[in-house]
Amino acid sequence: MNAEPAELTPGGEDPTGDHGEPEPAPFDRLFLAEYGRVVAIANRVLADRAEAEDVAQEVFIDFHRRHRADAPYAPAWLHRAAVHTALNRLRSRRRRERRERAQAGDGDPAPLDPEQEVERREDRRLLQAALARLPERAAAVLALRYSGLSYVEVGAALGVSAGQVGTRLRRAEHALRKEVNRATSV
Amino acid sequence: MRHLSEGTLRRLYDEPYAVEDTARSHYRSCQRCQRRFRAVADDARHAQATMAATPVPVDAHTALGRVRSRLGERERPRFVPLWGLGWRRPALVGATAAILAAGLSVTAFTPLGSDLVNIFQPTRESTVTIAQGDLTGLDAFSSWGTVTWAARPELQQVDSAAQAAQLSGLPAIRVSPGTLPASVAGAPVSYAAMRQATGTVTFTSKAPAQLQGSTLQVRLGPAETVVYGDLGKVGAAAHGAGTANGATENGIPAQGGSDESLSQGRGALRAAGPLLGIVVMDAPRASSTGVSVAQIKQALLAQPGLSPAVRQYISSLDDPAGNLPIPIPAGQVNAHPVRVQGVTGTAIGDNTGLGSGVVWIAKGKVYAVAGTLTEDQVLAIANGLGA
Repeated sequence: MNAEPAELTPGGEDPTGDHGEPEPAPFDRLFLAEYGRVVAIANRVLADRAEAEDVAQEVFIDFHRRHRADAPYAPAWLHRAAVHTALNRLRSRRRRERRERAQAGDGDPAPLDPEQEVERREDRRLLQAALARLPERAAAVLALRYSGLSYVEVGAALGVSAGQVGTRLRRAEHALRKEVNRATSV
Repeated sequence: MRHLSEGTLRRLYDEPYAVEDTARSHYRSCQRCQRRFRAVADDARHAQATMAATPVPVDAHTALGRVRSRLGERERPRFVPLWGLGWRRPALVGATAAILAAGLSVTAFTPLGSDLVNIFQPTRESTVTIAQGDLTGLDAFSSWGTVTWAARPELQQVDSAAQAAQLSGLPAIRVSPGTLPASVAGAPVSYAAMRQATGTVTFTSKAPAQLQGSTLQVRLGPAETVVYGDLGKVGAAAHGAGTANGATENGIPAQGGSDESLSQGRGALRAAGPLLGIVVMDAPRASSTGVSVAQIKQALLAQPGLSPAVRQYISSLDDPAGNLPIPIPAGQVNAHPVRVQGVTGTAIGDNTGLGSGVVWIAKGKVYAVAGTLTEDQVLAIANGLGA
């Protein structure tokens, strides 16, 4: 009566392997195909290459632990995870910076770079402040779209149709402009 | 034709040929839409300039090497992606409450003392009907103490029932093939196991005075599971359900949760196809130092914002008729006692007929069998189990 259940087919369930063997091809293929885009998404939010790569690697490791590398939703999952993880880091970083500034009792540290660098840093600061203040949904659609994802890809990452991406993007861009204008007019 | 939506106008700016011919034709002849388009395009150009970033060159091969190395350093746990099936957040809050509540369910009450004393080891399960709003009042408890894990609860995927047994130290789950309905008999089978996890809650100065300085040690598992069904489909369906409203899904941080998580969980289950899960675990246990049950109950009940259902639940935690609470969503699920494996268990069914399950406790172990099956089918599998 009691029988051992049918054997699991590890290849079908998790082709990334579970026995200390080298990663089989599907995870490698996924990584090599998507790593650049995942970094780009995180970098669009964080404007920091090293941190963006750190986010990307965390996202891939997290995916590896939870999903099959050949899952059809893999790219969408990675894009979505990248943008939300990066936005979370951005908000944490801004909170930390505010705390540090308050403790130091002054504003931004004196720039050590030439004028152009100062402007670049100011632009980056404005954008990150705006992204951090925007609703997560708006910030996510902006980061995904301006990382080069198509409407279809952005829709897949956010779980909406390509048609809805246009609506979200339009609202997000309008909100972004208001945020940036508000910050620069202060 | 109606004027074009803002979304269509926005897409017209980026991907004009992805927009339907009729929409493009309307645009060409409609001055109002052209005027609106200019505003849309203006904002889009502004965003483009603001969001511009220098492309980041990456060395994917080197990065892959680093990721491999980091993966190799780990124990390689395999988390079975069953968590994303909706009702997750409330269930987690409910579980947290249950662990805290575990401290109340005393089977061997001992008054104040410095030694760790076993205060909870359930012998019967009981259901607690909780509406989503009932859980709000429980949020305060999470700030009462710090939690440290000597061993974290980690479910690892393994390749066979024998490996699950080896990892967990429990007898292998053996399913009687004759009890499996055809819908799941041919499905892929996967196995997972968890070693015993031990966590300690130390009540801090944020806890009510009578609890401060005492500790509550909770032991969960070991456990083992067998799942019949295509977990890839479950993951994909759960992904769809999670992303549909931006709710947190499979550990991805996202914007706030949704009241629709339960119905989305059902949708995910429907999309996942036939599914059967079997869990066997040692009954959770809790031990305490320096705090009495009366003190814990008093502290819990003194909190504002508790719903009547939660108050009743806390008050009756040491009820010998059932002291392992199973939170079930109000109005969505029904539960009733059944006989299973010679003891009284609890059958739980989704009111929509989507699925059912049975939970029982015997000889210090908690058993659960659930799936997209009828109650009769689930009971037949449960009664045929060997473990």
